[in-house]
Amino acid sequence: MQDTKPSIYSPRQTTIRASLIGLGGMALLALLIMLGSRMLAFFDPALTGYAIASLFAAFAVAFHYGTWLMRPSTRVMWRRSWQFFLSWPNFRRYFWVIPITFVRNLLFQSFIRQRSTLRWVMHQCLFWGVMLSFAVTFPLVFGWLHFEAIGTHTYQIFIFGFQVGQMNALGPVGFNTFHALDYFAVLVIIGCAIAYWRRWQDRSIRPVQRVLFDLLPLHLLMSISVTGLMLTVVDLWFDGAGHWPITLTHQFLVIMLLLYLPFGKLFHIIQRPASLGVELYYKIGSKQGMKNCARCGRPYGLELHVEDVKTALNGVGYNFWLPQSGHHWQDYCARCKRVIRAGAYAGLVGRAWVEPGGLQQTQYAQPTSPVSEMTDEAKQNGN
Amino acid sequence: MAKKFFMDPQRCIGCRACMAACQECDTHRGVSMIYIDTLDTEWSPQTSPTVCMHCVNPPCANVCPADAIKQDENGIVLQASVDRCIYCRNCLIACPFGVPKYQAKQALMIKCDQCYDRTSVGKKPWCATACPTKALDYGEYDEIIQQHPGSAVNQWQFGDQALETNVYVFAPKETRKFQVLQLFDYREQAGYAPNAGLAGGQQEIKGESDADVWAGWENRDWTGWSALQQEQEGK
Ligand code: HEM
Repeated sequence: MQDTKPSIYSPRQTTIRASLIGLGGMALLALLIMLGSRMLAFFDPALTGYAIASLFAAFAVAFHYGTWLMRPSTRVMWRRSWQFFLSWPNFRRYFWVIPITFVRNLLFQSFIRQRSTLRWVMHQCLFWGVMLSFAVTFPLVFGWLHFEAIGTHTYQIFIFGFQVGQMNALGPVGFNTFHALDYFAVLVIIGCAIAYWRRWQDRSIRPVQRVLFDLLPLHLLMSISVTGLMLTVVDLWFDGAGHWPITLTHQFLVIMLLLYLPFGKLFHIIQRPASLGVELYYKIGSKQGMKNCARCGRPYGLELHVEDVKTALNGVGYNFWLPQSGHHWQDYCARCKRVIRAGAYAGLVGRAWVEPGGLQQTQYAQPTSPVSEMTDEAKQNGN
Repeated sequence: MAKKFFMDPQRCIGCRACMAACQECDTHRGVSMIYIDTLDTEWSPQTSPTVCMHCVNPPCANVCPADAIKQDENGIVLQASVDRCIYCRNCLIACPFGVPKYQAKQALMIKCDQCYDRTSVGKKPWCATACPTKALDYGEYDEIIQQHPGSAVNQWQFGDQALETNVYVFAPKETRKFQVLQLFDYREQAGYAPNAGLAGGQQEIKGESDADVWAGWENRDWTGWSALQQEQEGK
């Protein structure tokens, strides 16, 4: 894969800046772990491996997020989103845009349903399965949530080191709490199964899928869920036989997932919330006015958007200003761009009836096709 | 060497077989990603096919804030990846050839990726297979240029901006570069007004013009947001 214009800074500057952002992310997480676990008083040493992997993942995610924001076009959109979000009049008028979009597009991804219901079910299973698992496991790993055995089956619950209650592990609440991850694992397995099935039978995705980008995340999610469930199974019914190797495998896989997060497909979890900004952008932009094509006069986009894209294009080193017409190439609608180009071509090969001088005149086509195909008769007829 | 895509618009007879073929494809069922445009028919009989030109340095990918548009090893500019595209539509505005389409309901940009599914197993893209006049063709560079007396050009000039594309267009011999705006300028001088033809009773082909696409734009419910809002407000 070739990369596109990556940054507004030089490669070296980009790396330095992104590394700083990465370190910042890592330090922030470390701080939150320290504070949340009361200086590690409620930190579970058995989960140290996960915690360290999380710190590395925090570095890499922040690093990637940083380089992403240094893309000129991302920066334009990012700035605009915040500018719109933080303006008081907009806040009053468009207050509901963000929460509603959040629920519809980020939590329930209703737009995926338009692609197909199966894809939507798949993604909902993956989304809730993984998000809810994260909601349980990260607080445990960071020591924000802590269980301490005080009897054979009774546990003391601590949140951020504050004692919030007791729980009987065999009671309905306790049982379901301790097995919550199993339920989420089942969701993820269903989601992965549908994804595998789609990838297996759908002719539209099989040829374009790539192993590292499309399949690896599925393999990881699937194997993590399966090994996680196996832990419960061996503990409940097989006296913990094989518990230790399974734990190790599970831990290894989770760490791989955490480290994969910033690089591959799963980066979309972190990056997609930007679509909230896009929603606001279009809401506000459409009130500000439409841009009419400089040639045909029809609206083809938001005025604001066209200007921003021009800025972004300049940011990545293009200059589509056309002295001949006094417009930007982007001031024309998609169809006019095609038609102008086709017109230029027709003029070039002599397929146009208007001469540069402005005279109405039939021209003979200049051959770009084999000459033999054009008979003399055809030529005489002005074909 | 990788095979290349060639266009010879002069051979296009406007039959739209390519569009029909394109719509058959599994990856974008029912939507054509190739365009056949009629010029103003008072001015020229030419119809013009447009596929994605697969710019060597593609503006669409460069302005994509989500980094969703990637190029493969052969320079083919792939569609926006379905999980990254945040439907900002920058690519639609930026594309110098007017290629990407936006699927509002699915919140997705789609565009020609030269039939990745077919070319990766050695077949021609659908449109090139269906084209009866070889206005669209795909194959080894050396083989194909021998079949044409003109020269295959992949350099474009828009004002000061030069672009190189992976798709070649046949032009009269000695042409090195398409000066896209040059002729446009002449036409304006000749008193050309693009809408005059329409007023004169000519019909544009339905579904092809942007007017259909943008009709009622401001009131269009892009992601179902306003419907929900109205529901909530009890309208
Ligand atoms: C922030 C909210 C999220 C949004 C808006 C989102 C959006 C999307 C979209 C649009 C796709 C493409 C689906 C398709 O068209 O077929 C996708 C794919 C995918 N998403 Fe998400 N996603 C989100 C969070 C997550 C989370 C938390 C996970 C869990 C790890 C996840 C895992 C996946 C996977 C594995 C795929 C690929 C499915 C396949 O193999 O076809 N996503 N996501």
